[in-house]
Amino acid sequence: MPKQLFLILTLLVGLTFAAGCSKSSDPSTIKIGLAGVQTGNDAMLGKSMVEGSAIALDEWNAKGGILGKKLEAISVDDEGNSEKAVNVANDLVAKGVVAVLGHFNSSCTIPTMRIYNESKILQITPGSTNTKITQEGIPTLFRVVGRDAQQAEVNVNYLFDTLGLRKLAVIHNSTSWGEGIAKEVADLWKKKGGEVVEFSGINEADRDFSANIATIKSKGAQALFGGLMYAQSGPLINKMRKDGLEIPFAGGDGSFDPALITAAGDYATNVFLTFGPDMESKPEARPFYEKYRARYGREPGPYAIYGYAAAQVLLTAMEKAASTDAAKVAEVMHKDTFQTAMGEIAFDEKGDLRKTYFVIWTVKDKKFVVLQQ
Amino acid sequence: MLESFIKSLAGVPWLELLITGTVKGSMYALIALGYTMVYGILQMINFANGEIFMIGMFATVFGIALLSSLWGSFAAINLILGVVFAVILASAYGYGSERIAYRRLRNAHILAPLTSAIGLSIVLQQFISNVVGNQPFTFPNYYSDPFAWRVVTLVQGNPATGAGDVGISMLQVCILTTACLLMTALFYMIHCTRVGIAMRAVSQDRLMASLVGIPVNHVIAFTFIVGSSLAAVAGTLFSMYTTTLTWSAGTASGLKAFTAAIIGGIGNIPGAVLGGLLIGIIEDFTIAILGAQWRNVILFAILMLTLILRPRGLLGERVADKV
Amino acid sequence: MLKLENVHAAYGPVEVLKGINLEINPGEIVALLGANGAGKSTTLLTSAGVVATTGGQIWWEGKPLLRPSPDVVLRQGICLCPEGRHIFPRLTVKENLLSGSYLLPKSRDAAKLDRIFDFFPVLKERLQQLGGTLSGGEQQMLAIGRSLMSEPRLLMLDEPSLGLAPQIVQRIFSIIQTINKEGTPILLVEQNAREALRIAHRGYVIVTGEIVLTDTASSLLNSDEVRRAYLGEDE
Ligand SMILES: Nc1ncnc2c1ncn2[C@@H]1O[C@H](COP(=O)(O)OP(=O)(O)O)[C@@H](O)[C@H]1O
Ligand SMILES: [Mg+2]
Repeated sequence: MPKQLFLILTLLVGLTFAAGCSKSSDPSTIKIGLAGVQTGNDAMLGKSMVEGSAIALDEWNAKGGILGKKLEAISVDDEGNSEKAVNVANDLVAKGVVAVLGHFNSSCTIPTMRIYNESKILQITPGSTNTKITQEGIPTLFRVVGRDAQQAEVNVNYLFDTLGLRKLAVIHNSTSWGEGIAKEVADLWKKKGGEVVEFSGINEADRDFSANIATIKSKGAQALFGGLMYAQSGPLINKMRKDGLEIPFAGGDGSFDPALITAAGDYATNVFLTFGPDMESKPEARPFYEKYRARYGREPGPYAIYGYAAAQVLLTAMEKAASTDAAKVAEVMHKDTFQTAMGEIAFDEKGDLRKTYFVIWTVKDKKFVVLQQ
Repeated sequence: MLESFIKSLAGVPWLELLITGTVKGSMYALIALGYTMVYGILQMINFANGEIFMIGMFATVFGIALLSSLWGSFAAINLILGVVFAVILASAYGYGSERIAYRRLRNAHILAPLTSAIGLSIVLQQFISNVVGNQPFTFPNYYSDPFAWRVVTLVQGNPATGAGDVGISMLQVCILTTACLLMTALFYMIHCTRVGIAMRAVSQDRLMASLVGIPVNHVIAFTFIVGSSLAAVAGTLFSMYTTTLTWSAGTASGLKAFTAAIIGGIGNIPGAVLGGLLIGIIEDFTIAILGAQWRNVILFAILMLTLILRPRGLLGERVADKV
Repeated sequence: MLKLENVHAAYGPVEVLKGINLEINPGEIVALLGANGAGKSTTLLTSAGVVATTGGQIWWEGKPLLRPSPDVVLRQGICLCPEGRHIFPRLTVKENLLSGSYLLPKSRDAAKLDRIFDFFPVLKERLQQLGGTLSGGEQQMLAIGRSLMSEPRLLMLDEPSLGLAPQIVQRIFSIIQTINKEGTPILLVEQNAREALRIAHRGYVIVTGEIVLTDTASSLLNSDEVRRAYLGEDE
């Protein structure tokens, strides 16, 4: 009897899978891949980014789609894991997407950008800041965020020049993004004549930082830069304050999420993060924020608007090129200037933003606020 | 290379590392006790024990959230009841897993319960991951912050070099005290009570234990419950200490605790405690001296060395204390 | 009290008990005799709930005996002291004894211990020693003592004399007799048939899983068949 039951179950499971696979691709739509981390530690950042893109696609569909066809969003979750990212990228290629908005983590964008390039799929990453990404010379790859090199510079200038600190400790999460930005910060710091008293990598799963804090404390660092995602930097800030390490904590966009403040709680003091400017205060961004809240019933993550703007750029360029061909769309993108919810966007020959705008944010009354320059 | 290494050794904050390592090690020890007790009594590795540690974390936070929504934030009461809730839930999991996943396989080939244990641990992990939405959780600061104050300052900071103070926080004191109390209670139970005699009897000769009237199944289930409760308390302490909870926390800490149990001599109760403390301290020193990426290399190299040089663990010869 | 009715038992495909009929009455010592491998131990193990029956019925005080596991059988009053003693080697003598009274009121432990020390004074001297360090004779005494801690209403002893010096065998048999006189019926399996029949009231002879002979102990002692086969005479 249990054996039979097992057989039936197996059959059922098999059927479900078969049904899932047989959903054939519909040639009458234009398929856009929305890829990002939607579960796991960085889920909060990646998910709202994908949702932002989805809102834009729906708006276009409401207006009748583009080039006479409806848009079909194929949303995939790379779990912030580079192997999984390669799998979902291959999936997207197989499903015949013409363009991908994603991925979020640099460690997922780097291995997948080659896959998309080989399949002549245009890619815009709304969230990956690793400097290397646009150095490969892929003509159909763009990003609507700044580069870590720029981020690092803003960070270093603030700590070194504005705060006048000289001894820096650097910690990173050993990912492409974390280690990349950590190295850039450390190099810049040394170039300016500062001293890097500690440089160490941890694992993404680590949650106990006592030993790192003890080390940093003993080396007399005056500030700590963390190439970490918010899931780690929040608890780290909390723990370092509790262990009596009161020095400024600086970080990049990966730490920029309200969850950092939740985790650090009252101990979220002396925190300085680089991120884009305060979008919500821009009039052109306001409709998006309202739409997002109405649709999802919660606050958008900081990267939601980047996902939205990336989609705006992509679709506008497709219309202008009157084609979904990656090369033709890319040509338009390299040339034109786009009006988006984030303001004007134009790309240089590498696919990077012509104008970037990292600013320093800090935490005040349990909220991120732009530090007055 | 060697010279710079030795130079870096000189600056190691050994006192603070000793403190943090001991604190963390005492939590590993609590988890390791669960592995070692179940092994002692069934010669089986209960891989799901690490997940029970993780369930303990979430159950505490869930319990606290539930209570504070029921009657508000009475810090001490909610926290204690939250831990009690976690212990009850973890015990139920431990008992249930023994009943469902292991009992029928008790006389099967050794691989069967092992596979079942690994399966169970994946089930528990994915279950929590699905329920809590797969994102990092924060231990409510309202309940952990009151423990943050420093009880003693052992070393004053040095303004010249910028080095900070070294001290012991209330939370660290609480963790160590709780761990010590629980371990003492466990030792007492195993050596001075009837159920302790019964547990040891079952571990030495299951059939004979049954022949003298010991309800073997109950005693085994009870062992699972005790092990799970210890892991659950460790989970609460660990999530308070690190302020976060993740559904994957059980794997990392569980593996270290398992290593601790092996190093101490699996099946040996004092061995698990010794192993846990050693692992905690070695881990923190490795992070400070070589870097966090080296910690697993070192820990598992030590594990392998122990297995080669002392296959039965550091205290493996003193089998008298086996449960 | 205990009554085995046409009991069959098997280890896998091999049938070891082929219809055992056997009865023990209050106050009796019953000896179960037979060659090595005849099925004596299996008979006791079946009655103790260790080995399942494949046929027949076991009655205990007029009702079917419940045998889901040995501890349940023990709680109904039947205690098996198995072949080979099976002392818990890493429990102390005291802990070994106390393991026998798990689930029984603690308040009765002291009296029971005193009685056991009366029987076997040497155990009192060894109280804190580990079971595994005792001599064979001491272990046998400890095994019997541990069984007594569970307050059995029927005691089944499997080869208590195995591997012991004749002097000690004498001591143990006389204690068995005392225990019986104080009210506990005993089912005694022995290779040492002569000694067993000397203290027993009745006896059964088992050959390859079947009872072939049963009589009072004195008749068995005088029976030619038994003398030849089990008492080593006329050889
Ligand atoms: N666990 C076992 N598995 C298989 N066969 C067994 C087992 N125990 C005993 N036997 C066999 O059953 C028969 C009866 O054994 P046993 O009852 O121990 O005999 P006795 O106690 O009279 O010497 C023997 O042939 C023995 O080989
Ligand atoms: Mg026998």
